[in-house]
Amino acid sequence: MIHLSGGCKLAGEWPVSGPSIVGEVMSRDADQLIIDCFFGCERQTVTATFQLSDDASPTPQLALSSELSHLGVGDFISIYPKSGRLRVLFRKESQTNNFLVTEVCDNYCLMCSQPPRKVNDERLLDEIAAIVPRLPKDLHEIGFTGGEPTLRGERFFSILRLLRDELPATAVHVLSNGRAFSRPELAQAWADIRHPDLMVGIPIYSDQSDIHDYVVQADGAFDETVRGVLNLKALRQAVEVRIVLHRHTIGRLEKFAYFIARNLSAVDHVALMGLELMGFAVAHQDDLWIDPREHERAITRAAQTLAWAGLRVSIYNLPLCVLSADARRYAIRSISDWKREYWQACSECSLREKCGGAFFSSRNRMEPYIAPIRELVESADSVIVEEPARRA
Amino acid sequence: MVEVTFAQEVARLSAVKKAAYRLAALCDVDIRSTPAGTRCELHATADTSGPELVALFRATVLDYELREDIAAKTSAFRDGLLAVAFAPLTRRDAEDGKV
Amino acid sequence: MARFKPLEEFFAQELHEYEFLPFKFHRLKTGRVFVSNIVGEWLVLDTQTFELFTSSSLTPASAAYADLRARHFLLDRDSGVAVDLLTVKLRQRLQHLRSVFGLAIFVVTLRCEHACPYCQVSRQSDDHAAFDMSPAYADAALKLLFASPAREFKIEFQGGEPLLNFGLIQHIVLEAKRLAEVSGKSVSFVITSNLALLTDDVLAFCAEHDILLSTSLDGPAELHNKNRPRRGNNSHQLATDGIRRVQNRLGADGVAALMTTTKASLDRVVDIIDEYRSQDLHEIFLRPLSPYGFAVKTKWFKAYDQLEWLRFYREGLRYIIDLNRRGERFIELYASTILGKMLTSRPGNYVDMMNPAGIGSRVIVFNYDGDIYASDEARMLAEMGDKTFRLGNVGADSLAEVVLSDSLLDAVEGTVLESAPMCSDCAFQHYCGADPVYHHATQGDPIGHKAFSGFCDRQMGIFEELIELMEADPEAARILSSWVRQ
Repeated sequence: MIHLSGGCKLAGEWPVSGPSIVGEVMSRDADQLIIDCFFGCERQTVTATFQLSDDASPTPQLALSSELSHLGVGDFISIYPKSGRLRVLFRKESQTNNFLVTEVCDNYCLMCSQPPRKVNDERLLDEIAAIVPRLPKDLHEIGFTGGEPTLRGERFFSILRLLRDELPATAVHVLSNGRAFSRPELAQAWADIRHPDLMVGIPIYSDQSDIHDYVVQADGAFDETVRGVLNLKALRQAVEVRIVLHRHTIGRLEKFAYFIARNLSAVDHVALMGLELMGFAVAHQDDLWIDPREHERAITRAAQTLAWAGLRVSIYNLPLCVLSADARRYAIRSISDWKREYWQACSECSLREKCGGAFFSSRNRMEPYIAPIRELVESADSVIVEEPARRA
Repeated sequence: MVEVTFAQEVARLSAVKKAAYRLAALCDVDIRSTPAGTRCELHATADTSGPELVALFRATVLDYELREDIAAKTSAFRDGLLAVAFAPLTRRDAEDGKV
Repeated sequence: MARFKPLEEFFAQELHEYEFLPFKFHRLKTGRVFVSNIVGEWLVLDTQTFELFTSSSLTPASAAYADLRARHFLLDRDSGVAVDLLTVKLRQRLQHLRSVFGLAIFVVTLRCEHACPYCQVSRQSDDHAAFDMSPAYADAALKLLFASPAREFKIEFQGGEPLLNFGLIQHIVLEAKRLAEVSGKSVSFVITSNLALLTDDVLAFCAEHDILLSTSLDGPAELHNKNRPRRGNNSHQLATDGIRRVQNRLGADGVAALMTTTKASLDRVVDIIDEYRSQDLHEIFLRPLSPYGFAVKTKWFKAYDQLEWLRFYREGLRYIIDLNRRGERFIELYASTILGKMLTSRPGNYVDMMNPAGIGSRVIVFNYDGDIYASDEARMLAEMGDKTFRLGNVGADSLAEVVLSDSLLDAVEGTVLESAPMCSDCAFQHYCGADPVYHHATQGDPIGHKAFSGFCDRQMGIFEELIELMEADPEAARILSSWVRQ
C-alpha cells in the first residue's frame, strides 16, 4: 500500500500550530501550485514551486521535490516541516483513495505491505478529519487502511460518522483484521454508526487456525477474526473476506473456499488476491511467491466453489492470461492506476482492455507467465470485468 | 437358525436391538439376556447363508455399539448446540422473528 | 524488525488430545467410511483412518486430521470457534421451519381427456358441476392463504387437466395478484398441463402474467403414448408441439417437463433423456416409481422394483454426467436436490424430502371439492379411498385451524428423523426426509419400518451412487457440484 510521499522544503516564517500542515491545491500551472493551507497553521495561501528561491523574505514558501510534479487541483497534502516529508492524502483524479488511519497493528503478517510500527500517530486522524468536509460530495468511494484501523477505536469511528454526515453518497471500505469485532460491544458500536454504505474487508487465510495464525503471526487471531465476522454479520453489517494467494494459503485454497461457503455463507463478498510485493513481502518473496499458472486449478475451483454456493467472488491483482478461461469471469480490474503495469507481450493480447495487469511491484516475478491471449472477439466479450466498487 | 452371544463388555443391549432392527429384512432375531451376555438366535428370512448372516450381524452390532459410544461422548455438545440453535440469539432477533 | 515465528509455534500442544463433535457414520459398499456431522458436512475416510479417528488416536500427521477439524468432526485446543460456527450453521438449517405454504396447489378440475392407467385422480366426464372447483371455493381458499403468515408462495394449478377449467385459472390468477398487491406478499404461478388444449389465448394469458407451464413427457413417442392413452393416440405429439409453442412464446425456461416412471420406462432411460434433449429441455427429474395406485402384494415385489429402479437411475445419471463431460449442460434434478443438501447450507425446497415432513406446512392442496389436503400424494391417497391426510375444508376459519389438527401434527412430529428408528443413527439423515404419506400408504404407519421401506432403499441407493461418483471421479464431482448453483 503506497502512500505517495515526497520531499519538501519550507522557507520563511510559517505560523504553525501543530506537527503537520494540511493544504489543498487550488490551482496550478507548469511550475507552481497555489495551496490553501487550512489546518495545522494559521489559514493562508502559499505558492509552491519546484525549487526554493533565494528570497529571504518572511513569506512562507514551499518547494516540492520533482516526483510531486503530478499534483493537481483538488489534491490534499500534509506537510511535516520538521522532517521535510510531504504526504499526499488525497488525489482528485484517482479512482481509489485510501486514508492511512494508523501504522499500529496487532497482527504481523508475513506479507504485510504496510509493516506495522509502534508509533503514536493520532495526528493522522486529525488530518483526515480536517479534510473530510472539503472533499467533493460526488466522491464515489473512499478507503481506510492501516495498520489496524480499529485500534484507534472511537476516534476512528467518529471519522466514519463524519463521512456519513458530510459525504452520504460516498461508499466507504475499511480494511481490518476483524479481531476487535470479536468484542460484541465494538461490533455494536460499528453498527451504530449507521453508515449507508460501509463495508469492512477482513483477511482470513485458511480453514486451519494454526495456518492462519502463522500467516498473521498472532496466536489466537483466527478465533478472534472469525468471531468478529460472525458478530458483524449478526448485526447485518457488510463484510468481505479477503485471501491473499501465496505459498502458505494456496495449498488448502479449495478446501478453505468450501469452509467459507459452509461457515461464512452470509458474507457479502470474497476476494482472492494476488500478492503485492511490498513491505515484508519483499523480504519473504522467495518463500511466498507462487507461480499462478501452476495453481490455476486451485484458484479456479476455489472461485467456482464459492460462486456455485451463491457467494459473490472476485479475483484481484492477477492478469487474465494467468487465469483459466473459467476463472476469468471473476477477475476484476482492481489495481490502482499508478500501480498498474503491463508488459510488451500485452500489446498483442485480445483481452488487454479488460485486463487489470499486475502490480508494478510484481512486474519482474510475473513476467515469465505473461502470454497474450489470442481469442475470438466473442469470447473477449464474455469476460465480465466491471469496474469494482472496492479495490486493493 | 444360527446363534451368537455378545458379552456385555463387547456390546450393550441397545446396540444389539438396533442391529436386529436394521437387519430385519434379512432375519428375525430372538434376543435373550443371559449371564454370559446377550444371546441372539438368527432365523434367516432371505437368501443369506448362516455364516454370512452371523458375520453381517456381528459387524452391524459392533457398529451400533460404536455409535452408542460416540453418542455418549458427544451428547453434551449435541444437547448444547441444539439448545442454543433453538434459542433466539438476542432479544432483537426474537423481535424480528429471525432465529 | 521483530522475529517471525515458524509454523510449528502455532500448533497447540498435545494435539492428539481431541474431543469428538457429534457425528454419524455409514460403511459404503466400496469399503470406505462415510462420516457426517450434525449440520450435514461430510467426509469419506479409509477404514484405517476411521479406526484411528474413533479410537482417539488420529494425529495431525494424517492428512484427514485437518479436514476433520475444519469440517467440525473434532475439536482440539488450537481453536475454539467450532462451537460458534456449528451454532450458526444449525440455525441456518432450521431457518426453513419458518416458511409456510410455499407451494399452494389448486386442483381446479378432475376432468381430463387422457386416460392414463397410472393416474388415480382423473375423471372422464363432462360433469362440470361435479368435478370442477367453484369460484366460491377458490375465493375461500385464496382468502385462507393470504390470511396466513406466508409471505411468498407459488400457486400450482393441477387436475385432471387444469386447462379444461381455464376460466377459473384466470379468475384465481387475477384475484391472487390483487390480494398480493394489497397485502404486500408475492405470488407466482405454474400450470401443470398435458398441453393438448394449449390455445393462443392461454399462451397470451400466461405471457401476460408470467405463468410457467409444467407438462408430462414420459419419453419417446411410443413410450409416452403407451403410458398416456388418448383418443387419437397423439399425446406425445400434442405435448411436444405444446412445449415448442411455450418455448417460443415464453422463452426457453417457460416450460418444465416431468416424467412418470412406469415399468415400461425402466430399460429406456437413455431414450427418455435423449427425448428431453431433442425437445430442447436441459433438465430431467428421474422420478421414482409411485406406490399410489400400484397394488403392492408382497415385500418381494417392492424390493425388486426398487432395485430395478436404482439400476435405471444409475444408468440415467451416468449418461447425463457423460453428456456434461462433452460440454452439454444437462441436470438431473433428484441428484441436484440431494447435492444441494450435501454441498451447501441451504435447506432445499423439495417438499417430499424434508425433515420434519413438509406436508401441510410447506405445501397445501385445495381440492376441487373444497377439501384441503396435506400434499398432492395425500390427495391421491384420498381418491383411492384413504382420507387420513385430509386436513379440513375451505369453510374453515383459518389455515392454522386446518393444519394444526392432531392427525397431521402426529404424522409430522412422529416421523421426525432424529427420533425415527434407524433414521436416528443414519449418516444420511441430513440429506434425507420424512415421507409419512408414502409409509402410511405402503406400510400402514407414517414412520414405517425403514428396513422394509422402498423409500429408504431408494434414497440409500442414490446417496451411495452420488458419493461413489464423487469419490472415484473428480471430473464427475465437479460436474455434480456445478448442479447446486442457484
